[in-house]
Amino acid sequence: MENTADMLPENTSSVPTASNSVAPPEAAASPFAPRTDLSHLRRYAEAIRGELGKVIVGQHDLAELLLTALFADGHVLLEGVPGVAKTLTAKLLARTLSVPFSRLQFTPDLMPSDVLGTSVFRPQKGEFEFRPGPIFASVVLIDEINRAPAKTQSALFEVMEERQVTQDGTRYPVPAPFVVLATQNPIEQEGTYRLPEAQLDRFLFKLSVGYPTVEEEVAILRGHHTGFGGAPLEAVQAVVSAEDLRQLREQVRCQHVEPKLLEYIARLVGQTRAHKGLYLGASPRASLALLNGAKALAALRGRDFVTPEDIQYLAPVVLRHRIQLTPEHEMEGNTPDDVVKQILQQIEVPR
Amino acid sequence: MTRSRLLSTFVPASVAAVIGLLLAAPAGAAPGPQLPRPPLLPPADTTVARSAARFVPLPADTAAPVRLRRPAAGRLAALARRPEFRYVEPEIRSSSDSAWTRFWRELLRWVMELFSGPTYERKGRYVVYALFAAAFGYVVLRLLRLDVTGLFGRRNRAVPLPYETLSEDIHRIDFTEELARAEQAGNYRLAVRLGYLLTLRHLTERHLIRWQPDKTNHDYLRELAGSPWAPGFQELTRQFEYVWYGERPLSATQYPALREARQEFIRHLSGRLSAVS
Repeated sequence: MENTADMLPENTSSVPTASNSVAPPEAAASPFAPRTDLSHLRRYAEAIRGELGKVIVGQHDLAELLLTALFADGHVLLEGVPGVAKTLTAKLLARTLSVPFSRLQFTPDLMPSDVLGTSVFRPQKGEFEFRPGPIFASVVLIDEINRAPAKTQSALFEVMEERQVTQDGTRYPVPAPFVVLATQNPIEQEGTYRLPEAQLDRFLFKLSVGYPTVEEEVAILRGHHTGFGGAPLEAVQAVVSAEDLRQLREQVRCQHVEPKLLEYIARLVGQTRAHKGLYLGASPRASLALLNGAKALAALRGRDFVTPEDIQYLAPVVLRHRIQLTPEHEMEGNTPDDVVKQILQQIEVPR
Repeated sequence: MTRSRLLSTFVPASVAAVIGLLLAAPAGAAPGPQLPRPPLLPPADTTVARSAARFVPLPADTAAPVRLRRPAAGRLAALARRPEFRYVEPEIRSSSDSAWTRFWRELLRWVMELFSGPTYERKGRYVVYALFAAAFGYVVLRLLRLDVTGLFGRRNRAVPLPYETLSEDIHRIDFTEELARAEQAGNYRLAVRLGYLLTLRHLTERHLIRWQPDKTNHDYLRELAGSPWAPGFQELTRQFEYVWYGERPLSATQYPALREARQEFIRHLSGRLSAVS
């Protein structure tokens, strides 16, 4: 566990503030101009992408989806084989935000109190005092989340959903913004514990981090060979403050969604509950996740309204960890992504 | 000085004796006691072979013939009535049993009879064969991924997976009439939507795109990528998305420009294609 809040430089002066982000009057007159000015949001997104790009080679889709989750106020589960820069990406994203950061390495002997904090007795005062755990940070990186047993994982339920920790009958709110970035390895099964459904449902996205292309891997090697790989983290600077992020999220929340698209989201998620190949369908929280994610993605793409394209793009990352295949469907070699794709093909795009 | 003298100087006499023996043994000065030899076996017994050669079979004993004794019929019946000789527990019937309980009891009894005794030979084994055949058939159908539920009049709920129709079929809409009606009503947002659907129909009829209800506008843009119609369609798509998904209010002065753009694209599409053909 490390707390790097003090290490992050306050270098947000070069980036404009997100306040007063309404469209200029001349733009509002045109029917095809954004009703709200999204240029600040896009500039912040570009600034974060630029900082990530100093160290990470490729992974453009991953960066876009991480930004989408950040602006949609959601937690992200990163899954990938060892060595594909899951943890590094999460650490770098945390460094681009000038907010308190903490890191937790989940191990089989980790206890809930190691995460949340505990009450200790103060003999001088003659009373118990709550000592906050590492979860009390704005960006929490949980590495190898599936190495802790269900007991410790379930300690995250309340804080991930309600942004608070209850100890001895007292509620302790976590600082805003609050983002959990967790990583897990899908290959190694020994000594790991499958995440409970209730916890999986609390992640906005489950992102699969794949291998780089040959060109990207050559670029990685070249960077390492020329000595760039010495201290990469120090090259990344904080470009977004907590207040900026709050305003950008407010802007995303106000994105326009046509009623037929709400129905489209509900039909997509509802279809997971009726699908023959699924043992467990997605919850209404998945519908909300799809809606919030689509709003953020539309904003990142420069639109102040959601299109079916946004919903279809996000459907796999929102639904893949919230559905469970039936054993026979799984034995036939199908994956959750296959089922989501099949469902997308079944439902007509509202037009 | 000899080894025994040295030992007697430093250790007690008894210990020295034992150590002396151990030291003396490897030198081979005195041979140890000899191990007892195994006793010698006597020579092979040949008397049995000789007596077998002299065996003579005895004549059959006819002095005490076997007599079969049967118990008295009454005694046998009395014994059979005793509970120790009753191997089937008597069925306990309660007058308070419901019809449902009696049904299950009778069914269980019928099944037990079917699979035991002579009834099994007559009927039961055919039931077993039928069950095996059904299981084999099910496995084959599963492996071949065939669905025969339609033969029994039951529709598999997940196989057909029909498209959920949220809007009209573009091939059945009378666009001329619908567009005129929307424009007259001042519903320009609907007019833009109908105009865009009309464009999609033209592109589909000319095999430039493949219409499918699940495709997005950008899927069609990707299908048109590189063609001369891509820029025009991209602009129409942008207009449609802002007006329809973005729910932009469209005034009577703004609409004609959009209508002109659509008509120009369709004219261009028809003209170029007819010139090529």
